[in-house]
Amino acid sequence: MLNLEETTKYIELASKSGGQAKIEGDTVFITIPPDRLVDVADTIFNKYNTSFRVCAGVDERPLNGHFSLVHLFTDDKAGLYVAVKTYLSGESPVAPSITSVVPAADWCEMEARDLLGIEFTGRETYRLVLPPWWPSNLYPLRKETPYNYRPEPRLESEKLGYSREYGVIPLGPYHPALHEPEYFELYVEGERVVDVKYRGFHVHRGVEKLAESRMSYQQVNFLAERICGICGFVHSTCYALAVEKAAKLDVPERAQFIRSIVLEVERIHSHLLLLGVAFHLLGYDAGFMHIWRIRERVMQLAELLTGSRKTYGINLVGGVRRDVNEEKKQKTLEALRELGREFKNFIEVAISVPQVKKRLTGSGVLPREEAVKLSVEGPVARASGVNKDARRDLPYAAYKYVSFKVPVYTEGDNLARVLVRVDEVFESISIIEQLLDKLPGGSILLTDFEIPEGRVGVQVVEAPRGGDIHYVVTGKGAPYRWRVRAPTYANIPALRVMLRDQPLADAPITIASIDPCFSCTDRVVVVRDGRIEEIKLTQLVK
Amino acid sequence: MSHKPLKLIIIAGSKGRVTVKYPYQEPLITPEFRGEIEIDPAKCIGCGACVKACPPNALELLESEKEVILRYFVGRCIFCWRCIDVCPVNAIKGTRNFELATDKHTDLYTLVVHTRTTCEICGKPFETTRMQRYIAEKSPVTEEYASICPDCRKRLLAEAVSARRVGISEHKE
Amino acid sequence: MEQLLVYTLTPLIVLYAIIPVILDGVERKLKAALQSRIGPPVTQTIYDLLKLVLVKEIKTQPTILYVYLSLTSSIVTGLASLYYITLYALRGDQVDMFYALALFAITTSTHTVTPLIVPNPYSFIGGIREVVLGVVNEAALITSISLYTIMAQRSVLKSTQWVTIIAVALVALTAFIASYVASSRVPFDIAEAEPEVASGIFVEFSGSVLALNIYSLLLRRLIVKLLVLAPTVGLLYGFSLTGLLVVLLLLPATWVTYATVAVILGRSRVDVAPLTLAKIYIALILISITVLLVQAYA
Repeated sequence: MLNLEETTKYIELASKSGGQAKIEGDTVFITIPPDRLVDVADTIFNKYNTSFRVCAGVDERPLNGHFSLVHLFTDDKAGLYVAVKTYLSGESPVAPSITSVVPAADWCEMEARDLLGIEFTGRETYRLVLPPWWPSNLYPLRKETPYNYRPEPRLESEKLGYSREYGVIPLGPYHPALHEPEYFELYVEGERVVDVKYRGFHVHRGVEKLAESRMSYQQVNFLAERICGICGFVHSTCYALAVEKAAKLDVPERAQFIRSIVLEVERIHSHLLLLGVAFHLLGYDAGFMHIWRIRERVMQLAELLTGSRKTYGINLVGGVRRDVNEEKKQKTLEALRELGREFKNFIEVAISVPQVKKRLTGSGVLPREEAVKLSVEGPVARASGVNKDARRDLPYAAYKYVSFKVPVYTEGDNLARVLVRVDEVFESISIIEQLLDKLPGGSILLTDFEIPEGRVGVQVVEAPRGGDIHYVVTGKGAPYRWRVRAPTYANIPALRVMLRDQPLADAPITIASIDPCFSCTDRVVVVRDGRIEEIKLTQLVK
Repeated sequence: MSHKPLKLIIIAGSKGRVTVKYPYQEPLITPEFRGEIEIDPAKCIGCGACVKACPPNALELLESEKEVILRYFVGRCIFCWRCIDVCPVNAIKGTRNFELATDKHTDLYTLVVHTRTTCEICGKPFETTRMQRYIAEKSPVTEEYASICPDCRKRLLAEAVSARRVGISEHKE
Repeated sequence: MEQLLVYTLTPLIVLYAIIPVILDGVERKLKAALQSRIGPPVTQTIYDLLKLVLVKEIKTQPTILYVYLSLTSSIVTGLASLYYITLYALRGDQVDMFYALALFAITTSTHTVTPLIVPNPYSFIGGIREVVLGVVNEAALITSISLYTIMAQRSVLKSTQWVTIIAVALVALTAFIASYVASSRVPFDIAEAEPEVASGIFVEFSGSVLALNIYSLLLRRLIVKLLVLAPTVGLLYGFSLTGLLVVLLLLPATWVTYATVAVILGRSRVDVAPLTLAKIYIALILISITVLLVQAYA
């Protein structure tokens, strides 16, 4: 399946840079010395036109006395995962920053700095994830830090970055009308937004640390599902697939089909949810109510297939826990037919409402170059003319057995982002129909298997909001390291581009248009933030 | 301006009212729905398999000298029913109950109390009485070890091995 | 005659005080039906207001006394305005209508500036937006209804000249648009606009102040409808006691129509709405005045 020419490119690059490469499945693992990291990242990202997904720091001191830093790219055209690893000193880990060549690496580098104490050279550093009062020598993800250790929090008064030139409008972190703790500071001149600051990560939950310290392989599925309240199944599938890839498990086909079916059900519900919210923000509450009426059918469908309306809880490493019988299949097909018809009828009406159409068109534009530079994900990328979709490019579960269109728009405005989702709802309905039609027989769960230690699995799953990536290093009975990156993590930095020079009144719909999920983005440490720290977003978008 | 937005009236008219007068009407849940679990105290043997499988620690084993208590705290339960999958004696049953609000905190806990046996050799508290009976039924081979705690078993084994070693080494000399 | 008027009008004012609350309940029920929901009972607005009045007040704002004063004066002038509209519908004396308009201008301005009294940035932003829209719309409302009143007085419909009819129709259209905008419904419910940026006054208030504010808004909705209905009925039917009854009968129908329009539309952008409206108003009023002038000279 793999293109040999494509892989040799990476092997040559590794040997030229004084490192080695090995290929396992669809992943190229490259190990290079730290001083060549920037060159290699530059070649892979800018010359080979790959997408940067995330970087992960790993505390490997108990194994080999070193820290390591893994940069994860995906070559979407060749269907390849590229993991670039460098070993760093165990005493004082220092790595060169790749933000000069890969701007999208900004957040993950700062996260590794906060949580593992890896210092970065060649860039401005700041505290991203941990609250300001957190002890500076305490790194939560180092293996010696106990998972349940909580330093005494200090409450500090809130400090806003007041500007003399412009008016400041604080949005959040706990605003009566906001759904999640996020904080945007909008700088306005009259009714125009001139700049934006973002401060997130208020609700770190220490998910990665918890999985690495207290849970077993099968329990982590349920934890992963709770990373997001809307697209949780994506996370548990991504985790299960990553572990299965690491352990080279041969999961029954039927299980993979059921996973894909449920993933698409989840995508429909998530897109309908966002469309409803978008209409609500545009003051078209009738649109909100009717879209959610249609969505209710999807929720019931999910309950029929999995036993729960949300957080389905059917994924395990090795397969799924609920089967689809003939009766459920017929009911699903019937529900989908009805759903497709109703949605088509209604969305035409909703998009034709003059205020909805006018306010979506031309607002919150994200140009293609910015989208590529920031490696944005999902509908945000596809609305800006970046043709990427992990379901097609890096096929997983059962997506290689179905044919579907990937909607791409080039306008990059809020309307394009809405229309991408509208089109995807219809594609998802067709995907589920095809999958149900081809559903193979056999078992749905692998029961006897072993997960060897020290293996690595990287998996991307296309969530409703974009590519979701999980990186798993296997350990004894539980993951040794589990790194999660949700798509909103990659999309938030693009908001600055979208909000700038736009009317203040359009800010809420523009923020909503990336379908942000802040609980996915903030997932690491167990603390409450008492203060808002100033971060210059100029550092984020260079 | 087109007349299309007006079609909303037709759509609303044809769909009627979809909301229900919950809680005065039956809640809309399917037979597949996973709700609260019920532990049958008559069947439970207190083995702790469910506790090991439970992702959110909603099931816990509380141990004292005389008793082992299986505690189910519904406030933490995520309704995954993994406990039902792993229970060796099918003592746990899933229900469709999801209306769990209460004004008494204690209502959120279910306790299954098990008596404990003591180790025949060292007298330390050991597995539950039911567990001992269950193992005896399942595998008669273990009968002679069934009432000895793992620590003592290990010691017995070590003593036996060393006795043999000593025997061998004596023989060599 | 004067004595009789006082006797008929006093119970009417009481009725006016209750009508908007009930019609709001009807509006909510209608909105629910159009959104495929069961919705709250028709009496829900009454329950809401009673609840707000009865809950314990949390006084967070130092300027709360001024807020009370401005809202109360808004309601009192509103009721007085309703009194003069009724007189106008009965007798057709345009002076009554001008009194009503003047009083309504006070109602609107006191109600609109209330958010500005509250020292909170969100309330202030929402308030400023209301004021901008209010200035544009109030000018159009007063101009168009004054013109409308003058024309209705002359019973222009009896003239066969089509130019006159066009002019009247344009003025009526302007008056209806302005009265819709003044009723603070979608797309012009700017106090509640952009919930994530500025939730305006509704977030800041609780208890009886919130009740007063809601009530004042509902009363304004009633006045703006009667302001256009009275001259319309006068024009088409004439000014009399039956005319007044027709006005009162048409009121629920108008209310329901406005509510339906609000459901099928989205909210317009707050900074665009006043400008667009100003352009439309100026065009409509200028055209109708020109038509009238042409006719007068021809």
